[in-house]
Amino acid sequence: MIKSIAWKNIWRNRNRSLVVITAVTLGIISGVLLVGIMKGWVEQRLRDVISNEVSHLQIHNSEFINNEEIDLTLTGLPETEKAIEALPEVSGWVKRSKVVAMANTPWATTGVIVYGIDPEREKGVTEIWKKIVPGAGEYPDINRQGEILISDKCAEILKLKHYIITEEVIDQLRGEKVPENILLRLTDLKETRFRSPKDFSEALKLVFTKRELDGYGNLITGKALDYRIRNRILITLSDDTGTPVQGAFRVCGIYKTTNTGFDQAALFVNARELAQLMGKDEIMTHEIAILLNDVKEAGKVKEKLEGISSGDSVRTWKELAPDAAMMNDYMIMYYFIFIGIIMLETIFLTLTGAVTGMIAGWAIVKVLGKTGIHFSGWGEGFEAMGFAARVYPVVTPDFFIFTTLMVVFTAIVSSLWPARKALKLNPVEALRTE
Amino acid sequence: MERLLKTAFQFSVLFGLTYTAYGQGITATEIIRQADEKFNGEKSGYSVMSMTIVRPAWKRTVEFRNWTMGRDYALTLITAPAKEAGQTFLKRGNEMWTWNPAINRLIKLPPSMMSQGWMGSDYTNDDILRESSVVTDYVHEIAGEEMVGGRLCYKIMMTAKEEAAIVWGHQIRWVDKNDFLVLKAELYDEDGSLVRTETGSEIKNMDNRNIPTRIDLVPAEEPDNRTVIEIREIQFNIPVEESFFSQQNMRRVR
Repeated sequence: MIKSIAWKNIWRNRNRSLVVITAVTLGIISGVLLVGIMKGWVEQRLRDVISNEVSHLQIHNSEFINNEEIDLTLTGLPETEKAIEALPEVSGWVKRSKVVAMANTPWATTGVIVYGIDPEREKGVTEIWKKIVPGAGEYPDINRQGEILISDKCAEILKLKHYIITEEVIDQLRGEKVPENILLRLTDLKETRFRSPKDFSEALKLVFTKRELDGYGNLITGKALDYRIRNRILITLSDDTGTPVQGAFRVCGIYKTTNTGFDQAALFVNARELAQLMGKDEIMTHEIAILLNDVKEAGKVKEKLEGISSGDSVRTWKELAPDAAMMNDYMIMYYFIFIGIIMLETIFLTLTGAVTGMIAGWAIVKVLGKTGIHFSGWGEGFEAMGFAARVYPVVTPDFFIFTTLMVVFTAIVSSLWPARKALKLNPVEALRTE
Repeated sequence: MERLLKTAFQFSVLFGLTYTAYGQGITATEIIRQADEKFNGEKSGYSVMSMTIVRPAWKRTVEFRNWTMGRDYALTLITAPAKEAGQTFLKRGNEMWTWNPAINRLIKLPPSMMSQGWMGSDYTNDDILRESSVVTDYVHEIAGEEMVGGRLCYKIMMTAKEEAAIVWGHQIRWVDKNDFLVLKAELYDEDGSLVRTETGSEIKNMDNRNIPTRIDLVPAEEPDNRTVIEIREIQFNIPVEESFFSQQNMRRVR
């Protein structure tokens, strides 16, 4: 009954209630949106870090983790391979070589990590092959020699990401309905090769106004982009005696993931060719990456694999990508903060009202306690029932205490419902593995 | 350093040796091989050089002494500026070390340092150590005859072989017809854009041979940057043992 009276009371004063309802609605909407965006980011990052970078588990030589030396390959390879094959939780796994090296083009030099891979098997574990920039080459193939896959970022650093306006580019832009006067001025830049995005945007700034660039700048830059596929990259690395060895590879494709930090360093070649370059007969295995059917099994699988080879160490994605794992864990804190805010807000809201009401009420009661209220109209009826027609209101301190407690209690109980609701939505729980 | 010296040697040739004797029948590869073999043919050498690094905002000069033996051994001592004096570099085969007296440390140069400019110049450590050969890693072709610095030169087009570990697409070298001195070299990337130009000039007679004593290196897209090598003194076939090129000697040599 109290509930229905409370509900009816709300609609007694429509405007008042609507103001409160709107305020609360907006607050909750922005809160949900904020958490939703955060959640989206974190989930996406987690998905990418697992599918592109670290998989669910990796095995390395324990020493390799501290010091990425070439001779620190896995110690118990045959046993480990057999054990992984026997695991039902595994959806795919690969062996890789991983070597720190320098990459050179005539124009630039950068430090990189060269991964020696088996392209076909790699496709079953990582999704880099799906991240090839459209029209920018292809993933390495075991049957093609001397090829290297680099990232968009790496191409930029090595100055293999050029911009050039050709007749074809102008035709394409015409197809995109770019005005003729812009195309006409674009011909001034024709056939000039720009070796960095910066050079090109500066050249565009000289020819066009800011407004024109806002409208067409991105389109022009996109069409003028010319990756130097098939160009030669010289890779320098040290063999096990520390002597530098060099090999030339041709760019077969350009990939781009969401993580520039990873992209900048990671280059991929056929493992066989990397071994040849180092003067090895066999492919070096520095790393095993395992993809599971279910991320939750990572901890369990780690335990199963851990005892197999004492010289190697098994790590889960949480240890391999602590930043992503930390974000994941922090998300739970964000939920608590968000929920805490909802709850505290309700409590503060009610308490402020309650305290103001109680102080004002107390003052009014004090005054009326002196003067009394005369229910003259209904006096007869009151008195008939034994109540005085003139009332002198009284409040005792314990009433205030009781009211305060009651208000806080109601506030908590009423905010528990949305809080619980929000908690139930917690998706990160599902991704936790430990 | 080896490269510096190598370049110096390439520019140098014994007086009296008349390569013109080969006449017009000489092949492009032979021209390059002979220009290159000036260096390989020598048993040992000692030289004093200075290297001036010119940048738009600053300029500095490094002076050094070089000892070399064959293609595999080289020792370089920095003598100026005072801050870097005493620093030595040792090359044995394709390994390279550096000794820095200020920190009392011997460091083996890892590949990561190979591509850094040597002493801040446009030369990289990699230029110095590079195993590639101008003779075997390129296909050569005579592209004509041109005058460079008042001397008639063969213009040789050198195209990098497909499998060679070279970043360049091709080079053009101008080799003096009489003395087989490389007077100019242009290095191009695979798209055919000029990356850098090296020129030899101020040909002087040193230790009884003609050599260009000044070499200018200019990166094509930064014409305000340049590195200038000047050869102050050079001696060939000095008495030197392999044991001279040791890590112990890196600390002792003066």
